[in-house]
Amino acid sequence: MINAPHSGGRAPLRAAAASRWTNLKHAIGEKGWLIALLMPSLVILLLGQAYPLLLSIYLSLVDFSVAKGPTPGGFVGAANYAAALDDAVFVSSVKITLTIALVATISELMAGLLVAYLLAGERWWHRLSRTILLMPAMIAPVAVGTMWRMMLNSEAGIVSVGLRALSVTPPNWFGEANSAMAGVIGVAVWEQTPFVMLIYAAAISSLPTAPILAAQVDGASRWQIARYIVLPLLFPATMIVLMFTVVDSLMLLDVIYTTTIGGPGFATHSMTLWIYFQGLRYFNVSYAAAMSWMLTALAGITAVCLIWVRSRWLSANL
Amino acid sequence: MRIKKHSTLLMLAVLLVATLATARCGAPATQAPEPTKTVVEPTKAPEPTKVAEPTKEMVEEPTDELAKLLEEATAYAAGAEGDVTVTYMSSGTYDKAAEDLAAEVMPKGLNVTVDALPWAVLAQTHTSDLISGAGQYDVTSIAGYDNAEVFEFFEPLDAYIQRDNWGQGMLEGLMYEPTGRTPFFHGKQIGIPYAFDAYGVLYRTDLLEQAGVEPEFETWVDLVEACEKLQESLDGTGIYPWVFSYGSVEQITNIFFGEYQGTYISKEGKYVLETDEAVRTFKVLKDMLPYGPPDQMALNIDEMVSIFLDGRAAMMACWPSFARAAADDPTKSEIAGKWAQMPFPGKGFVNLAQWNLSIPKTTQDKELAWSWIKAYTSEANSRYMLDKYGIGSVYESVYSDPDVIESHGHDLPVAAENLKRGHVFPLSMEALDFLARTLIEYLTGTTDAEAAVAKVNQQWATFPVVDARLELAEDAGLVEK
Repeated sequence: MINAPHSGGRAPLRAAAASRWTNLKHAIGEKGWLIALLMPSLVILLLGQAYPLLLSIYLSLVDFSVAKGPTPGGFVGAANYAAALDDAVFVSSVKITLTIALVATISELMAGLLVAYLLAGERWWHRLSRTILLMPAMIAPVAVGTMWRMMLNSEAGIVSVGLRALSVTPPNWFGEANSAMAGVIGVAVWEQTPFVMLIYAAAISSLPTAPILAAQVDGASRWQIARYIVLPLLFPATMIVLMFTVVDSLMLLDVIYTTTIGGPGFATHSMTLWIYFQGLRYFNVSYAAAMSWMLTALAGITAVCLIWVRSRWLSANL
Repeated sequence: MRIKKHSTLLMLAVLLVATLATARCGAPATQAPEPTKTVVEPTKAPEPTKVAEPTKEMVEEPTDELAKLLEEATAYAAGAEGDVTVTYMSSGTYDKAAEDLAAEVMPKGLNVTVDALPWAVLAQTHTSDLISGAGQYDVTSIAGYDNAEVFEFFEPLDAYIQRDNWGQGMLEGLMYEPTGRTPFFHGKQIGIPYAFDAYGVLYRTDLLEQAGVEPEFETWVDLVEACEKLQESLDGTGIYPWVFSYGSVEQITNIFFGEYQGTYISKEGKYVLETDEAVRTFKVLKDMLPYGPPDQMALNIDEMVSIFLDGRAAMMACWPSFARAAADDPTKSEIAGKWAQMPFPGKGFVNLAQWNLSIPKTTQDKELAWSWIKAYTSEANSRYMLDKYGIGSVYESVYSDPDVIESHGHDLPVAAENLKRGHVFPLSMEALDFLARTLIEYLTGTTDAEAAVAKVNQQWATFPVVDARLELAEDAGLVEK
């Protein structure tokens, strides 16, 4: 009873507030309301990503190198992009990057799928094996590179010692152009395969059992089941894995930096390494920004192509 | 995923530099008055003496002696109170010595934060800090002309040097004159030397004597001939005549600098090699390959030093400070008492790793920074660093000290002589890397010498030569006449 007058006083206020709220919502509309709610995130995104990206486009269009002066110079248009195309090291680095991406991606896909298929199951040793095989993905990439550099040491590395024990002469892993490329790709595959295995393991475990059981009833072999049922059903997962591994391989830097630093000579100079050197070792800021955009474009085009292939497949098969 | 780690980070890093650069606060410090130049009377370096068998006592001075040296060095920072942040290369030597001294000066009121950075990122950290005006560091360690692009951001030290008569007794040619050893910018000294390393060739005294090889070569061609003799002498022992870290990319240029007798910069101020001389030098360097370990093209510095210390190579070209202390320590080396340094072969120049302390113009309390520089570059601390960490001293008196001659006579006097023939290189990092990598391409058989030199010259023509390096090259006679 004591509170009654107050409660009675608040009720009209509440009603008025609710009415104003309803009017406001009505005035803004559902779309406007959504935009208002999204605005804080958009502002953060704009400041955190769009501004630096736009600034890097600007930088790629001006002449800024610390050797020429500590502040950005005048507008040079696409000169930095054209210079990259004239730069023999950059052109070579594109070829090296694409080679690494192609070979590493194919190897990772095959190895990851094989391991995931062989270890599909829920017995304790399946789970234990998967856990152990995931470990390379949990090690910092710089540590992976350093570790493999030591293991592939031609004189004292465990791999070379093992090969010698088997009467095989170990290659001069990081001392020759071809073996250095093979070494870098090998290390990258070792590091990335667990991720591929993980995705495939999840995809395999969620495959529908009915078509596989039906095939078994019809007398299909294990290989036939894998070839004609499992692989097609895994296609969507394959496309996702492909997108991640291709882009990841295009951006490979830490493994190269810790194993060969781009050598011998320019033999393992990837685009990322050349950008790193240009930007942070030589301080050719504009040139590095231009090359970064060219690499981003390459990765973007690859991703778009893969998305297109995936959507075509899905629309044709579902 | 790495896409985020690298692509975005790389671009953001580049952007950050640019953003900070545009926003840099450029209030220059007051110019110090023009000092009069002081010339140090040169003194003759002691003759190398017979190699002494090292003992535990020679390797490590008694602790109270070291403590006394530190105390003496601390006196130069007397009365200095405040906070100073300094950079050093993370090497386990210069940085550790700085930490030792910092611990000593702290109770007296000078709080020194030692920021040890790997060589690979030291110069870029300084550059970012300087062009952005961030002023993160009060004193910076600069190696030779690695930061030449940003020398204008350092405080001229001539007035401080003159006021405190600093640098007296340092090795001939280190201070006061732009001789390509201490950094100068537009005629002003901007760094005080605290350590030097002259690129050198270390050798096994017993093996060369056994092979009848005199450890003094006028050129690298002579050294190749000696390798042939050693090859015969060492046949079946598993010991290589020669070991080198071709896998540490830029190291090969140290040998190139020694053998190449041409210029590096054209009359027009562009980087260029004299083609015939460069081709000849490339070929000489290739002639050395048959005498090293099969995996030499992948060896880094640590791996190379390890081979030499294990007694598996008769000669090694390296930065002596990377091997000196361990080589003399019987617990770490198989060759203690059996090695020495020879005069660096070649008629070119000896490359120096010349370490200096500089004060950025952004430093708030420059007197405080100068106090630290004096303490760290003092003769007492220099001796401390030699005795405890094997760091080559910049003071002449050290080399005439009987104790030093007895314990380091097989090495340091030769290093001091090499220093007098040496200076830092006039190339930008970009030009240095390109030369080194193209040379390695040639050595691994990817290209021939003529094509490799042409490739270097073509690319070098596009690289700018900053004022400081041009001045250095002119002083060192490395510009085309």
